[in-house]
Amino acid sequence: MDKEKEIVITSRIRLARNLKNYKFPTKMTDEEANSIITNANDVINGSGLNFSLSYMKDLTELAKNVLIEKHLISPALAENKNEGAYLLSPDNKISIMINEEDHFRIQTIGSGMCLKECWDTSNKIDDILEEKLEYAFDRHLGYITSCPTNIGTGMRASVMLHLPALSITNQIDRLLYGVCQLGVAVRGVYGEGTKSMGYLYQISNQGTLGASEETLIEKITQIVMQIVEKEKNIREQLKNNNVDELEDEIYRAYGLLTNARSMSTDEAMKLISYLKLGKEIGMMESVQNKDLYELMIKIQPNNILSFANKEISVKERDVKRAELIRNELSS
Amino acid sequence: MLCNECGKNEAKVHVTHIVNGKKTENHLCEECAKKSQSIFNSNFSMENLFSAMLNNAFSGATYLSSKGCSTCGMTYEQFRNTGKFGCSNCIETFKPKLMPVVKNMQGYDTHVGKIPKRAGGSYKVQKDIEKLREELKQMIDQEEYEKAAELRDKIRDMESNI
Repeated sequence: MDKEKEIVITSRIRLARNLKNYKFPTKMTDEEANSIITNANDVINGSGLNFSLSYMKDLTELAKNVLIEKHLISPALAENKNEGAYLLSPDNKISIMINEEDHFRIQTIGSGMCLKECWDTSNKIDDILEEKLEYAFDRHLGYITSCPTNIGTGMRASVMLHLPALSITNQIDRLLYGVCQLGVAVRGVYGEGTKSMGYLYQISNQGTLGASEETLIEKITQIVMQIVEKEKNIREQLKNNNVDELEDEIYRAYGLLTNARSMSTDEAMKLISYLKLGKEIGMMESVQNKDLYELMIKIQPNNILSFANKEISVKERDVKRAELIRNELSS
Repeated sequence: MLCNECGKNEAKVHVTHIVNGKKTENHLCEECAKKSQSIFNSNFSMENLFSAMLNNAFSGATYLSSKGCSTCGMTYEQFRNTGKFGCSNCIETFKPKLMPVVKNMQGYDTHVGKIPKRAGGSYKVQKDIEKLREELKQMIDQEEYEKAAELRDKIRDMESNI
């Protein structure tokens, strides 16, 4: 398997756009909000794309939270008091959030390192919308987004990385601090603030004005490639110098995952992370065909609730989680 | 005294934060102190920086009491507090004080990326022509005369349409 694809989990391009003749989400009326949703739906589905439209008000709290855990919508869209909605492509790779912080947030996600392809797709969707709907655009400041932190290209290019070797050898903080000096933002993917559960990190551009989309993408790509190299090197080092210790950790993780009867999200994320590392450095034969990143999503709290299909306590969720993991790893 | 974070170990590190004039003290054990220095606990982000700069720039009683955006009613105070535009005309209203903040935060003050086809209008065509002219120069340098001729024709076409 392509080594790079194992470390780079997903790439994402998000474009923020607003329409010129409607008030922005901070000030818009429900009428305007609904009008925008209808217009977007008409334009997108009128152009032959078969996107499904979902209104936030029609979704349960659980459904919204599951979508957030799957990275299909943002917490902001779920919490919005405005009339919000989203359009989703059949393959779930392209989503358009409507009336989140901006009128439109066009997002394309791809597996592995593929920012260019994601940009091409988001770009096309952007063109389709703009052809029929008038955008708020300024010659000097570019696309007018609600927040000046997004103005200009309105583009956020992010890459999700799995960096277990750097994390467990305590080199991650120093590396990421260095990376931040280059105008790039880093945050943990799951968990609050300090946590980076599962050793998953998201790297994205900070600035959005003054550089072309291609330049920003190139910059992020270069930085990510350097981080990937570092992770690969540390994995080699671990294999050569600490193989016994590492093997022990990995097999213990496997032991717990295949046998425990109750497990918290925290613990599961850490253990699956070790298992994934083990698989990628050639240690775990039995899980070679398993998608361990998918498993990381499946065990998130709301996904488990959804899987259980009824109201259950945190303790019962932990039991269900362990059950799901045992089933996934044994099949 | 015990650590504020974990409540288990003795607090050996005493951290004082002064944010916006408010002082808070945190007493941590060595382990928790190390963790809190992690990059993920850092309050530095573009959003926080923008918020701080905006507060600085948009200050002064006379300024704050003046009329805001005539299209959506967004006042200077509201904009300072939320940091978000209410409509596409807010930019013109707040531009004078906002531009230095944007330039500082973003590092630049001019857009050089994608230009929308409709909203960009003739400006977009102009920019596209500029790009093609660059390419034309390159083709000539590389002695790719056929490609250069194609580009030259394309440029002529676009110019005649403006």
